[in-house]
Amino acid sequence: MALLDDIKQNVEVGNRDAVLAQVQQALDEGTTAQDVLAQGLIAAMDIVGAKMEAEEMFIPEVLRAAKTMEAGLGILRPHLAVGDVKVQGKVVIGTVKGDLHDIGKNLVAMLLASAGFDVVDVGINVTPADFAKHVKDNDANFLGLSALLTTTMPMMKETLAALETAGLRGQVKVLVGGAPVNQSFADQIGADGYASDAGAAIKVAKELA
Amino acid sequence: MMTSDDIRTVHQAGLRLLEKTGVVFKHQPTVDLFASHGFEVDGLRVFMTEAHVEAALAVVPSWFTMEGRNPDRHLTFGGDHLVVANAAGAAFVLEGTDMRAGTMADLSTCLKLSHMSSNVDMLGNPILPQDMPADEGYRQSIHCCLTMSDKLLEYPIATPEHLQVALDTSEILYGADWHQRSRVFTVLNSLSPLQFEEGTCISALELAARNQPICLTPCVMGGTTGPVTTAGILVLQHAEVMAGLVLVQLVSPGCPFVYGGTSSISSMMTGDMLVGVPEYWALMTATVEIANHFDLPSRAGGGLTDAHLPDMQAGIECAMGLASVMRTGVNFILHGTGIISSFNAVSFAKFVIDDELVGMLRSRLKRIDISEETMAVSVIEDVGPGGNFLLESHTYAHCHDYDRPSFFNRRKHDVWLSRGGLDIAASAEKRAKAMLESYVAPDLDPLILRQLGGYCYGHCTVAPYQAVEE
Ligand code: B12
Repeated sequence: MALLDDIKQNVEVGNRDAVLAQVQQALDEGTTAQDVLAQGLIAAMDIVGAKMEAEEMFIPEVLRAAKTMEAGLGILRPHLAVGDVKVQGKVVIGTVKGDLHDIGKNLVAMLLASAGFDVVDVGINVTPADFAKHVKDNDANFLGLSALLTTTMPMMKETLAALETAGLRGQVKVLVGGAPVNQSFADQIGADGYASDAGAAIKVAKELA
Repeated sequence: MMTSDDIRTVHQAGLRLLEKTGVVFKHQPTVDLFASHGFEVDGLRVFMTEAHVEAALAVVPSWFTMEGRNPDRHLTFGGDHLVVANAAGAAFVLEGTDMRAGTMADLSTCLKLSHMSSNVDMLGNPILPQDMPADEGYRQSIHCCLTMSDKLLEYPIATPEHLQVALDTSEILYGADWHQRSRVFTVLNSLSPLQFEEGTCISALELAARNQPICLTPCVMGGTTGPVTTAGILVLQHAEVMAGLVLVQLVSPGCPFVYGGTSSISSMMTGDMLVGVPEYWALMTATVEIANHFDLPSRAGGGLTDAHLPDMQAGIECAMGLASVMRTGVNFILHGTGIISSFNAVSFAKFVIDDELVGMLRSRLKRIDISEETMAVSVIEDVGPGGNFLLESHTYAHCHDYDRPSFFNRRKHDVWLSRGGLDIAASAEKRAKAMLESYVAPDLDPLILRQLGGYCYGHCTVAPYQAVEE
């Protein structure tokens, strides 16, 4: 349908005003909210995801598309049932204690959010106990840990231990990342997943979801 | 090249940020200090006026001399002096295509190479050893840096504990009144955009109180922690350096200070910082030009590359990175040798290639010496049209002028082949091996050596790394 194709394209290029108007128009014309969501908004984000992986779209463009899709979703929400919008999972993410590097963590957080995860960014320099508390308070099923310093990587292991102590380890999948972190370190400390960049992080999280 | 108009425009833009947006110092005593000097403060945010910046610029020295334990190795920062230091803070070592965790032994290898190099003037703490618990690793690394070479060290100070080690080891080396002279040199980063974290504030206050030099180096990443455009990056970097300068000069008017910058663009595809790109070279050139404009010692650039092999990409990027700042008259280069993989690793082969490159650039930067003797007009007249210069005593007298020992190939293909046909990385490994074999530790007063050992190893649970036998 031409209008849904337009919506799809306008989400992709981040044209918020057009998407808002066209989503409303589609509803007015009698298209179901479910169809607008699936064939307009979600279809657009699938293309965006593929283009990002193919290195055709840059991060600011992906984020703009995601924001546009969210705006469109805002109009659809009253017309959708609870189960219609699939939330991929609830993620608590932060940089471990002693570490201030947050650029990579922020990127992962933003891109996970744009991929449909509900993300709570708890910032930098977060202690193991605080991570456990945030997981509990938010009833999260994912925890993302970032470390850029070899001196702070051990905090990832301690955070896993804190989750264990708090009886929360079974409830969350733990993802780790940051320049000095690799798969073998992730395996060694018993994390559930590792990703070397934000694109890969989304993939891994979706696989584990 | 920036015109002085460009520089003034960037400066004014930076001042506007300091005045209207302000800078956050995440350390109450630092904010209190500003407030007590009449600065406008809102929570942890401090606002600075043009007058504050002018006052700091009026008292900061345009040069200073660092004094180490060997008077022949004192180093002057500023004017037309150039100080080159090796790689700093890498966690990994790259050998071939293999990236592995750095160890104390790797640290020792780097320090030996730096000590033997005639192009590296100063040490950076090259490797963060992963075969040690972090706190012990730090003290043992500092011990290696202070004993394996008598070149001055850029102290890596990221925490108050590190700061204490710097102060304590300086007292052991130079006695109780060590801070009468410039002894501890460190690079501090702002936390862009427009923030200084607590540890940085503490280090700045404590070092400035002892009149020790501070090299303030923002690492703005365009598109993530700064605007995506290079001009925007430059303005933000400048504002942060000025904010640091104002703080340091408030604590101790006349305290030595270096205008630093290592900001670059980030890949908008991945967010990764890019250091092997023309935008980085342009930004680093501009950094030096701005420092020159304000008559401040500068730090910028380095032998940086985004390559993961000491290959042609690495060579191009390093040469461009180093030449850009050296031609502009930079005073201090950190990561001059050995760093690879966008700051993340050290390569020993690249270390000696960079060493060679720095040497070549130093020669390149010398002006062609124009004199009667060097123009040799009378020699040309004597030889006349169609003659030969090989037998001239002028040739005999100067035939070693441009003779620089080099492992770069200067021979014909067949000779090169008969000598193994090695590529640059393989030749570099041979060269590194030879340098390591000829390494001799510098003398150090046995009493000081014992005290340093006691201090650095006293509480260690892991056996000391025996780089230098007592
Ligand atoms: C920018 C930077 C800084 C900035 C940080 C600004 C900020 N807001 O984060 C400043 C200047 C403040 C800084 C300070 C320091 N830094 Co620093 N810094 C860097 C630099 C140049 C880039 C890091 C970066 O942001 N990259 C871009 C992002 C997008 O990449 P990323 O972080 O790797 O993230 C990606 C992936 O790793 C992954 N990922 C990241 N997190 C997560 C989490 C999860 C769950 C998942 C799945 C994936 C994932 O996805 C991300 C997106 O693709 C690196 C060198 C480098 N090239 O990595 C050094 C580096 C990390 N820093 C280093 C050091 C030593 C320091 C200091 C101690 C001193 C210093 N200045 O050198 C202080 C420490 C401060 C502290 N206590 O944390 C060393 C670390 C060595 C080590 N591994 O131990 C490095 C390697 C440079 C070096 N050789 O000196 N630094």
